[in-house]
Amino acid sequence: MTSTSEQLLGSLPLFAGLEPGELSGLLAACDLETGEQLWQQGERGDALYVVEAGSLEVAGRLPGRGELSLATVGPGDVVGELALLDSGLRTAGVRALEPTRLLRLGRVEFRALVVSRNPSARLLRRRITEIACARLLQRHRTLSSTLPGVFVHAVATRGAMARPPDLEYLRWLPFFREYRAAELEQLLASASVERVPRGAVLVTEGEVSAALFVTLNGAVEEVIRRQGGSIRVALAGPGRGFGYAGLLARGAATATAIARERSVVLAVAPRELERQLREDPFASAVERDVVGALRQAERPQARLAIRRNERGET
Amino acid sequence: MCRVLAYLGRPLPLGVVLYDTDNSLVRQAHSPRMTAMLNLAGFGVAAWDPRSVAPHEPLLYRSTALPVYDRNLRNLARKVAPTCALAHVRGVELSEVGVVSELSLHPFHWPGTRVAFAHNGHLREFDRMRFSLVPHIHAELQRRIGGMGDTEWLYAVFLSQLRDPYGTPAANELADAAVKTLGIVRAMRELHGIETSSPTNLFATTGRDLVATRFSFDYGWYPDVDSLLEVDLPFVSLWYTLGDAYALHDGEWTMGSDYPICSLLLASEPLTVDSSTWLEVPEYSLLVGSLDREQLHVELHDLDV
Repeated sequence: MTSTSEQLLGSLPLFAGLEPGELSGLLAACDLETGEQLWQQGERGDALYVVEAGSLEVAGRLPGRGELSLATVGPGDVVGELALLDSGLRTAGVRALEPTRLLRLGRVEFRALVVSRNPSARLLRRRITEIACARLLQRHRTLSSTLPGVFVHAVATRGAMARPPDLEYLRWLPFFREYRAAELEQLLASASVERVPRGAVLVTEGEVSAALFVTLNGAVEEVIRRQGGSIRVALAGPGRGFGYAGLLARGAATATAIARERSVVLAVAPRELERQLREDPFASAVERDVVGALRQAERPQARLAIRRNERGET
Repeated sequence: MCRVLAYLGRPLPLGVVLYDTDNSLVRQAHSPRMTAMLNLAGFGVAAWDPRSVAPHEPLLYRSTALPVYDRNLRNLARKVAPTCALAHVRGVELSEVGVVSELSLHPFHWPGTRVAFAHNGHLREFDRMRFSLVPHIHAELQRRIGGMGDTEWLYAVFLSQLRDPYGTPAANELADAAVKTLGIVRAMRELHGIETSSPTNLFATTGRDLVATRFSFDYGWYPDVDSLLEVDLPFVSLWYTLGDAYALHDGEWTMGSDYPICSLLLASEPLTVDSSTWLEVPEYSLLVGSLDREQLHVELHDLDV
């Protein structure tokens, strides 16, 4: 890696605080010709890329319409960072608009570092989770801008204390699947388990969430509500989290969380959340969860794009 | 958990969606990607072709044979290009109580009626509530129920919500019947104190109009001992894609982008491994599709039953 590359990486918030020497061992340079595809929509993601020079076009296909240009990115921009957290499908294709130099951080290399408990990898992982949370909040804001009418305020409440479901059941749930029984017991002891009726509001849009919540039984939906309508941005069924994106991105919640079914939820208070995020099963669970939440938030965006297309709008 | 496919639009060779795509319905029978359950307990399809004899009647093919080895089905699928189809591969849990029987095969389509019906899901504790449904079923239809499975009973309740169970309901009447059917089931569950998760993705079509629900009663609540927990933890999936025609584009099976949009494919799982041109039907939703002079209308409604 050249000194220019190191300088560029040092200036990016994603890599702030990491030693240039460590980064040079992690990232590899690669070049694209004009028009060359970095990845196709629908491919499995395997790396994050930093644009060092040149520019890339991000373009997606939606059902029933041709390719749609979504964004242009240039020097200093990062693309594909979710691939480090999740091996899901790329939701849009990326190609070079001109000769472009990229710095590649592969998922395999990154995960190997995480497993070896490398402190820099942990820091980078936390940053990527925060970026994913910030992106989720931005997606919600974009969706809310499509709704007419004024914000509908709802008062958040907390549920009555409840007994947690048994450990055998909990370890089936996506959030806890990497937990050992003893670790899970510790988590339960440091958080509260609450029972809420259908329709209860747990997080209010525009306010700081009282906790990171995980649904244990039932389902909680996250909605953006305006007088002119509402959009559901996520449904958190058993083993799915909600209410934490604002906490991790240091901002207010961008959606209101309402129990769609009578539910039992785990609530991890903000101070405990910071402590838990330093623990491996919890950090991994939040990573997986935020990627899932981002994918869920794409669904209404895609539907809106199709509707705009049907109306002949661009 | 079963897998379902529904199609409405331009004539489409059945073989494409049953066999040709890399996650075709028949492939989903033995290698599903979004459920832990195999779907080897039977196959069925109802297919409408306006150029056929008695075009309002579907071709109905149901068999307990494994569709991947069913040469009759394979040959038939190569020759038929319907404008509407409802196909189903049935999954049953691995147990001594599961039954593989012709009586249980979807889609259901009783002679003389105009609606084909299929279900992806299962009503837990159905044995407790089955006979409480009787008052909600037309006397004449009660006599036609041949099995004890939840779907056939749901079909009878559904038909009984139509103004004329033997008529051809429009899309809005199909949608009303779906909502009323779920409402009746909700009431019977309350009557019997049934509070366990019961996915109820329903599909009903007349060949011109179709409705589908992505719905679950008491989602997220399971019995203490439950062999279907792994299958039911995620909300039972349902996806759709739409465009002018489903065809090979640059070597990939996708919907085309020409106008007008007149084809809709709906399936428990995208029919291709690349799912990026498919959209999920939102949970707790009702999808209504109707075809009017080559123009497709699709609506999504929140389903709060």
